[in-house]
Amino acid sequence: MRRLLQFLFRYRAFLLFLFLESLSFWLIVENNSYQGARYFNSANAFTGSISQASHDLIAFFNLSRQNKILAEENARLKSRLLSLPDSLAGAALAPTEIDSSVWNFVPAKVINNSVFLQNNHITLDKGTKEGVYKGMGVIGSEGAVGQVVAASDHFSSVASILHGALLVSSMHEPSGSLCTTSWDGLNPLYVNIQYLPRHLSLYQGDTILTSGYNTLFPPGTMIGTIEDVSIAEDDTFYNIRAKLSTNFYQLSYVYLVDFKMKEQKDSLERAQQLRYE
Amino acid sequence: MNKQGAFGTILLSLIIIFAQVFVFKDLVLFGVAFCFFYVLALLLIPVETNPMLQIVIGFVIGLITDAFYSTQGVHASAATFLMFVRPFWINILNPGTGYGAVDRINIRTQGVQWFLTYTYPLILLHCLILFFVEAFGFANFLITLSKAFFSSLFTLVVVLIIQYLFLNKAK
Repeated sequence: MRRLLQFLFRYRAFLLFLFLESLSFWLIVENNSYQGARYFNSANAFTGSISQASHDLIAFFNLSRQNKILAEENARLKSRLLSLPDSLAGAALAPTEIDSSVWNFVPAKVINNSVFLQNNHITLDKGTKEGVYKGMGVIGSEGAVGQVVAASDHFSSVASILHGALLVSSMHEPSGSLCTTSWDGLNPLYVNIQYLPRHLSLYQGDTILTSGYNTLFPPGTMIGTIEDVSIAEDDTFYNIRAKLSTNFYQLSYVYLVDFKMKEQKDSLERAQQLRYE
Repeated sequence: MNKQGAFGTILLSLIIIFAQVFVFKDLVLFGVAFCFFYVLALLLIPVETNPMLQIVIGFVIGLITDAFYSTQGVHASAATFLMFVRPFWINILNPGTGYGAVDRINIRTQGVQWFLTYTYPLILLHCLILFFVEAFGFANFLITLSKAFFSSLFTLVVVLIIQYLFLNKAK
């Protein structure tokens, strides 16, 4: 026993080192799986308010560009509004997919952002007090952005599409085929599109949208456009590189997506799964 | 280390961490060169501090930085490793006569050459661990390696600039 204690005492620095090192690795593993727990994230009150202060300082120099983006979005929405009466005629037969009573949007400001890491996160200035919850989708004016992974009272932390573990169920628009969007950690402007089978004909510039099969984003939210397609002799699926429609370098204002039926849809699907297992 | 010295060190560390998360966090050159200026706070910890305490300080400073980078655990693991290795490295670099009463490490008391041989390998080690742990494996090996290499250079340059900027007054 004495020997053991002596041994422990002699290597106490090394043992402490091992302990802290394994603790950090456990934290990393939690952080890497995008459903894992976040204990030390940018959404807590302290780091959040510091990021906010630093952001407020920098945001000032960005105002004119921000103005332009918001004006462009306004114009886009206005043109959609003007074309609405025509489509309303057929609305009785085919209800529009995005129902405002089902989809609710909370505007938020990006106060912290990274694009160069392997798993990138964004911090927003809205939290649980404003109705944000873990698992919410986030879209920008140009397209899909990510998913909330942690929320405190007034801040929330979002795993962006530039997070290695975030896979987005998506759709190749011209053919309507389902596929999956993922990021390989190389270039923050491009993502990979997986599982599009080789019988499809793909063209550069084809749009990739979110599918209706997740409760994260409204169906038909823009993700990007196909840039580069290749396929090996014996592959079933194409290797596709798509250019993101959202510029993550300059992200400033986003919308948190609150899908009111989320719980209903998820629990129904889970029950279904259990039945067939 | 006397009480005043300890207080000064803590204050200096806090200022360095604030500078890191406010300014140097957003400083990324060409998408590969990050600035992890906060390692200066770890490198300047007096030589004779208890090794256990050094490791704990490394872990805590790493966690604080992690919170701002949303990379929980990545900086903590790299900084803990850095603080574990540092005493051995200092022993190897021992000028023969020991460090004596000079427990403060800076570029003036130890000289540029010693300071560079002391800091650069540690910064490089820190960056290597940081980026490979962050990538969580050896996929994209070359990209991770280049990120680590260029970040270590960038960090070293900033550390040297800060040392020269603020030590003139203290002299």
